[in-house]
Amino acid sequence: MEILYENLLALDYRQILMWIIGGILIYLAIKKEMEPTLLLPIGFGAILVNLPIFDNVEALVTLYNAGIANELFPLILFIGIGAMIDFGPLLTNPKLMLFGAAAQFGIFFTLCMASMFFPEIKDAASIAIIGAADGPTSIVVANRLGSTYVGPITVAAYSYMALVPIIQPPVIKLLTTKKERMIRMPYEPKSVSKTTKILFPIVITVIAGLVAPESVSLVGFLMFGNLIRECGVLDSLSETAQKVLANLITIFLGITIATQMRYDQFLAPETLLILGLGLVAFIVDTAGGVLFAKILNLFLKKKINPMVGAAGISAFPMAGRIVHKMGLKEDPQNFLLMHSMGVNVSGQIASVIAGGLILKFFEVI
Amino acid sequence: MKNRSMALIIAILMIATLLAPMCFAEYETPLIDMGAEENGLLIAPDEKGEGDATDAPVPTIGATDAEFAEDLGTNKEDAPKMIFAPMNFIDNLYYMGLGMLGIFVVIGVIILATAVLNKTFKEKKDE
Repeated sequence: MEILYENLLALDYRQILMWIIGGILIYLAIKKEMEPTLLLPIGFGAILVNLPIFDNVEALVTLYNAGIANELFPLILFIGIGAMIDFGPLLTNPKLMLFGAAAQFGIFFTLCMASMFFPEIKDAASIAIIGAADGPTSIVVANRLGSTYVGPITVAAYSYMALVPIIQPPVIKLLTTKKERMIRMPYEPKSVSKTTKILFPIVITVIAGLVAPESVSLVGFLMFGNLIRECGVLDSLSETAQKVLANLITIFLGITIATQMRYDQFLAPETLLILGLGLVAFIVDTAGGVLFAKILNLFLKKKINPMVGAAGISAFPMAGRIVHKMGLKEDPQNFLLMHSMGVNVSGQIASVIAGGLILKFFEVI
Repeated sequence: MKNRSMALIIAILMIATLLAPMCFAEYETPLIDMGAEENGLLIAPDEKGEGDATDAPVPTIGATDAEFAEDLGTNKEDAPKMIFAPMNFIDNLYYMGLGMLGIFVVIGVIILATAVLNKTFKEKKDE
């Protein structure tokens, strides 16, 4: 008879709390449509691994070892992401990449902040990479640095990516004047040759590999996906990478990350701090991009709309669209989309490079 | 007005995030106060005898505190999971500077490479 209710007696209140957290993630995914591709599997997985007298579902452990512990899933997902990205707007105006670089300031600022609270610098660096606003980069860096906080870091990264429409606008408005937000940036379409589009991912991979070899896996897989897209002879592979592959890996990634969300690992004061520091990273990223644009405007005759700097955060394509919408709100004739999307994709490259630099600094410590 | 309120809420959340963990954190005293000098960990190599300089571990604040605790013979599992060491912010500014410089250098090279690509492989215009 006991066999029927022994699980119930083993229930811990913290497991129930994790069910609630999983439920909240599922609610946000379905009702609010916030990054549903990741938050729903993570939420369900959080409930699954917090059932009483549950050691580990063998399949989840196998998936974790096969795909997360060796960083395979995030890297394969990057192929899909690379296949989705169009670098055209960026290639017509390569200087926009500077804003992508500036918007990674939040990563290093958060590194300094996190080091005040976490004795292990590798944990601080893993938390800081939340500011890359890129799930695969966060998972790869946190895993490679051997952080024990992979679960909270992943949840924070994906949650805040979904919250970008709420986080960014107040920060942008705080740092800019109405006059600055109304600066027009007319788009002058320039065509980019197919050869350039094909050579670009190859050149980026070589440059990143020479300067930051630790970022080769991240940059390489991202650019490989883009090369499949741009070569023009692999349409079926490109479509597969963008849709089937990306969706398949996302399913496995989401539910497998949940193995890091057991109540004894997740419900700790450190988790609250990680969520807070993640928010700091996103805010300072936004501020870094905006302030960089404002500094540049001191020297430029043709002014840049500082809001475009905020699009350098790697949350693609959300950040680009938010900046465009805010520009239209201030001036219905001001179309910032091509500039903001160019900056947004440059943020993707810059965030991966930042991840490589973080690994370069701290992997051997 | 609404955005100012949001900004204020975010600022309060950030400050609360910094202050709240102090309730859980164990304060870390500077290296010098932890008896590191007496333990021979801060003695400069030229003040020690031959062969000692290479043996002495050189702990770095904020970088290997868990390892430092191990050097002192404390159990790593007993090492605090959270601390509050404001000086670590200053110590790690070096990585902030180096990281931002590194990103801008790499991006700068990429911009140059892209400009060269654009110049070299201009799209043929239809006649």
